[in-house]
Amino acid sequence: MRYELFAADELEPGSMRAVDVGGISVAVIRTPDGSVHALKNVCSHMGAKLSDGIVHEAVVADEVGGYRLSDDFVVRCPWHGFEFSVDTGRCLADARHRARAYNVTLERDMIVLER
Amino acid sequence: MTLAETPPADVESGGAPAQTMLIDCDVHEGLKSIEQLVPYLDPHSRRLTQHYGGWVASNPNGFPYVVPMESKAVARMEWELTDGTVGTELDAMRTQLFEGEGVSRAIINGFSYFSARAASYEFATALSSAYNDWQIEHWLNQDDRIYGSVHVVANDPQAAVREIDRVAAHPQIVQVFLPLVTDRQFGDPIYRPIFEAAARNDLVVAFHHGAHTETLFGWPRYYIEWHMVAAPQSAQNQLLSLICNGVFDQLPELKVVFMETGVAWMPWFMWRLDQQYRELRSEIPWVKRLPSEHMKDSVRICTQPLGDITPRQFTQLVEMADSERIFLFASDYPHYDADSVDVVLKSSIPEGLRNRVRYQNALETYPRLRGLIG
Repeated sequence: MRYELFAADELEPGSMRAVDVGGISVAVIRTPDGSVHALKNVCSHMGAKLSDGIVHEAVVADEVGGYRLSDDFVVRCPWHGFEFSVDTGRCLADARHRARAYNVTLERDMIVLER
Repeated sequence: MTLAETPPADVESGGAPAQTMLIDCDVHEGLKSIEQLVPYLDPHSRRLTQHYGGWVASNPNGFPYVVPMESKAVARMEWELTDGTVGTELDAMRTQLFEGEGVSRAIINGFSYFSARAASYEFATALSSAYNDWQIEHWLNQDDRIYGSVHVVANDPQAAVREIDRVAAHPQIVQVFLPLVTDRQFGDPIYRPIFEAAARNDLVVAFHHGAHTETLFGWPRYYIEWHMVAAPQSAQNQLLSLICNGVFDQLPELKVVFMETGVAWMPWFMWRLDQQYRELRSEIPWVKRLPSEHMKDSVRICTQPLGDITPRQFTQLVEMADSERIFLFASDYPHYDADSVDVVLKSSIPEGLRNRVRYQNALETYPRLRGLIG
């Protein structure tokens, strides 16, 4: 099923919007670099709305104290801080937790979601 | 006439320098033996000093507790030698532990905790080296069923690494021994060379509490309080430090062993730390796996004291922690609360799990014991 959601420029980079897609709440995410993603809007931990959280670069390190921001973005749950990849929906700390990721494309600046 | 009114003698005699009264406000008298106080003590305190263990007469300001056990060596009474010591003679260990308790192989770690010394690291290093050589000559070289520990001084990591590399040349050395200190965290990168040296030499790193190990509140008023929490509290803190500071991410082949901490905290610790990691991973992004996964692969817990829980509870505990490879049998010979294997690993524990705890897990944990397989 194909859903036309809203114009991408309605969503500021680094922000999210909750959208009802056929009765399912979806977090539409625009990362700080401008790309658009969509995750099911429910944290697999306790059910918080991911769209109430934040989107930013994941913190990574190869050695103790070697913090750096990666090129990969995560949504961080507003309740307990679980981090979900905007690309895959996988929880960075524990792959048993994930948020379903939806395929989204831009068509003439319109965000289109398929599920 | 009072003392204060007594005129200095030299004033009257003339010539010599005047002598006035002299009051010394800091003079120390001494006991030849602390036993000299016994006649002055009340009956209960007299019992503590004369019949119970743990009261170090030569160092009354040391370990602050009297252990209310009849053995002054805080040991099983039948294991006390005629000189009042325990664990000090190889023949006695052969009779009491190998024959009496049915032990096939034993890993010894002594009673000495050189890394616990708060200062004088050079002297502590010399003592640990001497102890290592003594251990090899008088124990390992005398009985090939006995395996030993490298004692090091962690606060001089370079010296500790040299000692590990030196002593590891002996094939019966199987682990590096570190005391469960409570003033330093062994996950700190300054200690990493010690863990690297252990892994490089196929040695486990083993932790054990001692008279230096304090609780969160320091020294509780009574021994029962200290004995209850000092070891598990400090073990949990050191394990937390190792995990959160990336020791197992850097050295996935390393195994660490905790002794005498009890066992039932393990599932809770896994669950709690996994939960914390899911929430706070971004603070320790060098940790790449769930803490419970690191623990299943890299952390081992000795069973003594296992009498705290029933065989059924132990079996359930292992299932809850999904951790049948984690627990290693340990007797804690020769202490008063030592575990005999047939008492704590009863036949009601499934045979597969029982054998894992009796020997299979140890064979998989200590790289240098793997030659015993088969």
